Amino acid sequence: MPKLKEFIADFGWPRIIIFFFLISLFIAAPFVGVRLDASISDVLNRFGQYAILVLALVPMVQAGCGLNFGMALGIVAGLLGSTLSLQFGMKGMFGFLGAIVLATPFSLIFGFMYGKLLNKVKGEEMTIAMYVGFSFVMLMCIMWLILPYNNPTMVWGYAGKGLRTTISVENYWNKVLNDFLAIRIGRFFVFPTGLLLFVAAAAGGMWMFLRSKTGTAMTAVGSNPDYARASGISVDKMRTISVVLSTFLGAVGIIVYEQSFGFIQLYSAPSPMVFPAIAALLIGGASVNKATMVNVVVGTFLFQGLLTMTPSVINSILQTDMSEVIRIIVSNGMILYALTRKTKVTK
Amino acid sequence: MSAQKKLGRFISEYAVVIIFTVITVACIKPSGLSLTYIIQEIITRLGRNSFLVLSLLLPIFAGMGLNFGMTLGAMAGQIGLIFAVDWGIAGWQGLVFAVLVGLPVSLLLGWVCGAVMNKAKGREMVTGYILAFFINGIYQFVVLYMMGSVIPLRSAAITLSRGYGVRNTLNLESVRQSLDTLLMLKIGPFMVPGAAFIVIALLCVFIVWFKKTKLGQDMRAVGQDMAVADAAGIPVERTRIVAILISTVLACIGQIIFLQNMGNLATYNAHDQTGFFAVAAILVGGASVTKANIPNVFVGVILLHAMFIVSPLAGQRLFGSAMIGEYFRQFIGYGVIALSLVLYAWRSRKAIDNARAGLRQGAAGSSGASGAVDANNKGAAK
Amino acid sequence: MSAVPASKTRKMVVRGLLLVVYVGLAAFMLLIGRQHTILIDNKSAEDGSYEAIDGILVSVDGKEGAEYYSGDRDKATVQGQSHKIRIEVFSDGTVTEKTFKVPLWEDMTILSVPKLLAGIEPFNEKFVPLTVVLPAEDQQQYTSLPAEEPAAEGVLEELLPVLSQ
Repeated sequence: MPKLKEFIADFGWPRIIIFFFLISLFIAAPFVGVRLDASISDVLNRFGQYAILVLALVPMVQAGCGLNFGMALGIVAGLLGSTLSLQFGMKGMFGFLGAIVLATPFSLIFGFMYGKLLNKVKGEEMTIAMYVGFSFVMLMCIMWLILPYNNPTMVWGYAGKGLRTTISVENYWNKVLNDFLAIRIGRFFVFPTGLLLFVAAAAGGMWMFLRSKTGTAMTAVGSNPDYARASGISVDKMRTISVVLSTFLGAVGIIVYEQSFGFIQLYSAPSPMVFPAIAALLIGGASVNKATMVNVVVGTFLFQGLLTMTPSVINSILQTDMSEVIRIIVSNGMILYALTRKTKVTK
Repeated sequence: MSAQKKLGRFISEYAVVIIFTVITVACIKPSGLSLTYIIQEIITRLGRNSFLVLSLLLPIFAGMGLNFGMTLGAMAGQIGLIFAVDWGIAGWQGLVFAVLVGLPVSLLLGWVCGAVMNKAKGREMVTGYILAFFINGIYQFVVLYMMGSVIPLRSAAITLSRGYGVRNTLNLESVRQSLDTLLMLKIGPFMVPGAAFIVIALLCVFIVWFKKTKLGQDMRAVGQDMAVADAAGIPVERTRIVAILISTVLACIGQIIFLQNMGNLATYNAHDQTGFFAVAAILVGGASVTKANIPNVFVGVILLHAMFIVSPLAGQRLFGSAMIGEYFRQFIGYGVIALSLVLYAWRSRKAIDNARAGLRQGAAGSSGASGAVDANNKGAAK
Repeated sequence: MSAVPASKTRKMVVRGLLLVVYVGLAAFMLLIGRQHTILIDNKSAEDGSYEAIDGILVSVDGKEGAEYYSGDRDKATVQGQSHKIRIEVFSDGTVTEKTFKVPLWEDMTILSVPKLLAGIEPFNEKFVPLTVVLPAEDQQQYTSLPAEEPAAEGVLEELLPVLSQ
C-alpha cells in the first residue's frame, strides 16, 4: 500500500487522471461509432510525429536553460533543410536523410548564436526565447519570399518565385519512415514501424548521451550551477552545447513530422508548433529544469492521445465539431498545470 | 564616471527608444504619408490604446512582470459589449453598460489569473501568456456554443445562422465612437477625442493616488522583495492578486474604449493581439520588467504606433511588396520586444556581477591591499 | 454591540449597497440608453379613418427634420423611452408637438403621423418586420472557428495574426 501511495505521489494525481480519462475515451470510442483500430493507429502515428520535437526540448531543460520556447529556430533550420532537399529533387529515404544533412549546418549556426544570446540573459530565457523565436520566424517569412527557389512544385505558380505556404512532399519522401517495415492490419490500422524505430533510436541516443561525460556535465550545470563551476565545468559552454543540440534535434524533429504529415509548412507555421511540444513534455512529468526519456514518451503519448481522442469522441457524442476549442483548452491547460507545479528538489 | 561611460549608459538605457525613433523617422519619407496625417493618427491611437497600456503598470509595480494575462480583461470587456449590443443599448450608455457587465467577469478572471500566478512565482509572464490562451479557449466555448443556446441572446442579427453562437464580426455601430464624440475638440488641423483623454487622465490620477495608499505601498514592497515584505507582515499573496485584479478590470475598460473607437468587434480574434501591443508599447517606452512609470506608457504608444503607421508603407515601397512590408513590421515589432527584454536581462545580470565584484574589492581593500583604493582615488581625481 | 459583529455587519451593508448601486446603474443605462427605431409613417389608413398628408416636416427630439409626402416612410433612431415629435404641415403652417413613450423592450415601433394628427390613440404601435434577411456573410456553416488552410493536425491557433491596428 505505501508503495502504491509513493507511486501515486511521484506520478502525480493529474497525470493519473489524464491517463484514466484517455483510457475511458478509448473504451467509449467504439460505442460512439469511432473505430478503435483507426484511433490507435492515429495515436501511434501522431506520437511518432511529435516525439522528436519533444525530445529536442530535453537538452536545454537539463542544462537549466528552461523550456525552449525558441525552438522555432531549430524548426526553421529543418525547413531550410527540407526545402533544399526538395529543390535538389532528392527522393525517398535518400531525400529524407538528405534533408537532415542539409539542415544540420543551419541548425548548428542558429543554435550557436542562440546559445550565446541565452547565456547573456540567464534567468529570463523563456520569455526572451519566445520573442526571439517569433521575430526570427517573421524574418524567415521575408526570406521564403525572396530566396531563389525554383522547383515548380514549391513556388507560387503565377509569379514563379516565392515559396508557397504549404508544400507537399508527396512525390519525394512522404511517409518513408512510417512505411518502412510498416505492419498493416485491416484497412484502418497501420503500425508505423520505421517511425517508431527512429524515435526509439533517437531516445536511446539521448539517454546514452545524458550518461556520457558531456551529458552528466550538462545535467550538473542545470541542477547545480555552482557545484558545476566548482568542478571546473564551463557553465556557458555546456549551455551552448545544450542549445545547439536542442536546435539540431528540433530540425530533425520537424523533418520527421513533415514526412509523416506529408507537408512542409512555411511562413508563420513554426511558431504554433513549439507549444504542443512543451505541453507534451510538461504533462509527461518534466519540470522546468529536469526532463527524462520517460517524460518524453509518456508525455507525448498522453498529450497526442488526448488531442486525438477527445475531439473525435466528443464530436461523435455531441454531433458538433468542437475540436479546435477543445484542443486549445486541453493543450494550454496542461502547460498551465505544469507551470504551476512546485519544482521538486528530489531525484 | 567618464563622459564616454555616461554616454554608453545612456544609450543602453534608452536603446530601444533610440532605435525606434531612428527607424520611424527613416520610414516617414518612403512611406509617402504627410506629417499631419501621421500626427492625427497618433492622436487617435493615443486615445484608443493608452488605457490598455496603463493597465500594465500595477503588476510591474508589484513585481509580477508584464501582465500578459490582461487579455482576460479584454475578453471580459468584449462579453460586456456583446450584451450591450444584444440588448440594443447605444451610445455612451452602452459603453457604461458594457463596463458594468464586464466588471464581474473581469473580477473573476483576474482573481483566477492572480491565483495561478501565485502558484508560478518567478514565471508569471510565461504563465500569464499561456493562461491567456487557456481562457481564450473557454471564451471561445462560451461565445461560440453557449451564447444563443444556454445564454439567451435577444437579437437574431448577432447570432450565427445555425441558431447559436455569436457572429464573427459584431457591428458596433450603436456604440461606435460614442466616447470619442462626447467631446471632440478641434485643435489646429487635428481632431482630438476629448472625453477619451479625460478618462485616460483620470486613470493616471488614480494610479498616482493609488501608489500613495497603504495598498499601493504594500505592492511596491512586494515588488521589491517578497521575503522582506512577508517578514514585514504584508499579505504578499493577497496583494499580488489585488494587483492583477485591478489590472484585469482596467484591461476590460481599456478594451471597451479600444473597440468603441474601432467600430467593430472581431468576436473571436480581437483580444489576441491586445497583450502583445500593450507590452510592446510599454517596453518601447523605456519600461522594463521591473520598472515602469506613466511617461513610459505615452512615449511607448506614440513611438510604437508611429512606427506601425509608417513602416508597412515604407516596407512596401522599399521592398516592392505589401506582404514583405507587413512581415517586416511584425519582425521589427517582435524583435524590439526581444531586444528590450535582452537588454534588460543583460543589464540586471551586469548589475549583479558588478555588485559581486564590488564586494570582493571591498574585502581586498580592508585587508590592507591599498592598491585598489588608490586606483579608485586616482579615478576620482581625474 | 461588540466590535467584531459591528464591523461584519458594516461590511455586509457596504457590500449590499454597492450591489444595489451596481444593479441600479446598469438598469439606468438600460433605460436611458436603449436604442429604438421609430418608423415614421405617412400612409392612409385601410379603413379611411385618417388620411396621409402631402407635405409635412417631421422632427423627433429636436433633431434634423425630414420632409414627408403621401405614402412616405422613414425612420429615426432614438435612445430612451420618452420622446417628442414635432410636425409642421406645409399647406396651412400648423405645428403640432406631442410626447410619446416607447415601451422598453420594443425594438421597432411604427408611428403614423396622420393617425396622430387625426387624434386617434394610440398612434404608435409595435412593428413586426415580415422577414429578417441576414447578410450573406453569415451563410457559411459555423461548426467551429474559421480554420486556416490546410486543416493541419495538432497545429494550435494562429499566434501571429496580421496586425491590422
